[in-house]
Amino acid sequence: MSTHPGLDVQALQGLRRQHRDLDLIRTRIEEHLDRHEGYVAFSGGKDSLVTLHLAVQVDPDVPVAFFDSGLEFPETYTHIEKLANDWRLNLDVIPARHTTLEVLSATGAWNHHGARNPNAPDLHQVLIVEPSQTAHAQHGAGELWGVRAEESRGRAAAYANALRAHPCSCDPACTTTTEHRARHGGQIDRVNGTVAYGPVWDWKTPEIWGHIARHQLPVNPVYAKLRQLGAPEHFLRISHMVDGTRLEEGRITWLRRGWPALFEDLATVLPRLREFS
Amino acid sequence: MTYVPMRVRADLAGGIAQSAPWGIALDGLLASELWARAKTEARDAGHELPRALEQVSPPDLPLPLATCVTEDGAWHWAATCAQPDTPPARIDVRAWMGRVDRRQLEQTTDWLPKTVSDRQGRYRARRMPLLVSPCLSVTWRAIGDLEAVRELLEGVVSIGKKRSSGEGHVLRWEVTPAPDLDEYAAAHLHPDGTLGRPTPSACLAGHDDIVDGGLGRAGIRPPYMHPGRQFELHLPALLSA
Repeated sequence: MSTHPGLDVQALQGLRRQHRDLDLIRTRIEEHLDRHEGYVAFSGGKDSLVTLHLAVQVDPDVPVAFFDSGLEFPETYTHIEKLANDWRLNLDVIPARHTTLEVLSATGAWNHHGARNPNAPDLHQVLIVEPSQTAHAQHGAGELWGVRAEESRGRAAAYANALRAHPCSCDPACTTTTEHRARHGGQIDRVNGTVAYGPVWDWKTPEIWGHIARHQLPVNPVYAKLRQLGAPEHFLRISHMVDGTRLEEGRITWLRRGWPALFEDLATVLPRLREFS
Repeated sequence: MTYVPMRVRADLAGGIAQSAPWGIALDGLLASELWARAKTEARDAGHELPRALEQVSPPDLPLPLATCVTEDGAWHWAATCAQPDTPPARIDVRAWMGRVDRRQLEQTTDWLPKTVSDRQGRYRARRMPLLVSPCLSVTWRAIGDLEAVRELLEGVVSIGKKRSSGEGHVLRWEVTPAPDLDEYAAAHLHPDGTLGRPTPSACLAGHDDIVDGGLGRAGIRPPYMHPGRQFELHLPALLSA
């Protein structure tokens, strides 16, 4: 039996030729920050890591906002702290008004015998809307984020609609769809006046890992842990440990297997968590 | 009863499915068998036993096992959790799917809403990972009465999750004395020397070199999921470690 360690798939991805025009992406980041100012939304995941890597090449002092849900993986906090030190990030940690656990517990939906609480805070409001309002108030209307179209139909539709709403005004005009997407895609103008730009909006997952491997970027150790547990590629996503999404796909199974002590603590507060493990 | 250190081995058809990152507890298996018998007897006598989880203080069933009592009065049965015979880090990821059968729901209630969504809420359809430790046998250690343990286990034909799908099918039970084991190892440790059961800190005094799964909240004895049995304990060594 061979003891050769074999080829490192991630390292191989880093050797593949980069098809993206990174200079164009950096130029668009620069234009976005010049026009709107703003911040990089950093979750500690791979997509926002690549976004952050591109953004700090343009402006090393760009504000980096981390929305702390209070229920991130322990490794995420350590990873962000180390990255902030190593890359000398202008990090702005914005804690949620209520932690995810407080909100989930307050709904009553996670307790077998608890009554539903219609007045419980809305999780999206508490975790996303309010912290982003705070970040925009402090840093400007712009936002650079790692949201990708491939991640969900909703995100793909949002980017597709936004692209349709941006007619080409280039001189000379964009001649191909590819050129149009590269020059105008990824920007979402919100009704509240803020503008989000996703530099990696149409990247595929292997491209993200390829960029990380090529530039040897430090990755959140949660990915390695999930891989070791056997989690499939589409589950290698970093966000807070628990919310109401993807429960039916086994999100809690991986949590229980990889972080048993944390799972037990959470299940004490949210007893119905066990139904999804 | 004569209590002696023992090894319990279950030969399996193909492996065992479980979501917890450590094996099934032997005392839990024995307790579930005793509890099933108690329920049958109660039903035969014309009444139902209240669910153990719904009792403020669930009963401690008379398992044929020795106990380990700490100085502060906490105690647990002298038995470990199962350890697969293959490297414990190896896990097969399979999948199970579930969808609510509306006709079945109609049998369980006299009122149903117009639609029961399979996309959201409690009855949403599921496609869940099933984590299986592929192995031909799992081994426990314990201190107890050989014959009584053997007699209780004879009725257990499968262990773990998804038993009705063929997972965890037991081909043979083997309960043998283990005179080579000291009492501490038989009650607490896996064959590889790692911690084999949820254990109070007091039990680990003087045993600092034992690899465990960290400190966490866990049940100390059956019924393991009862809130009154949950304490801050040293967790067993993790299967995925």
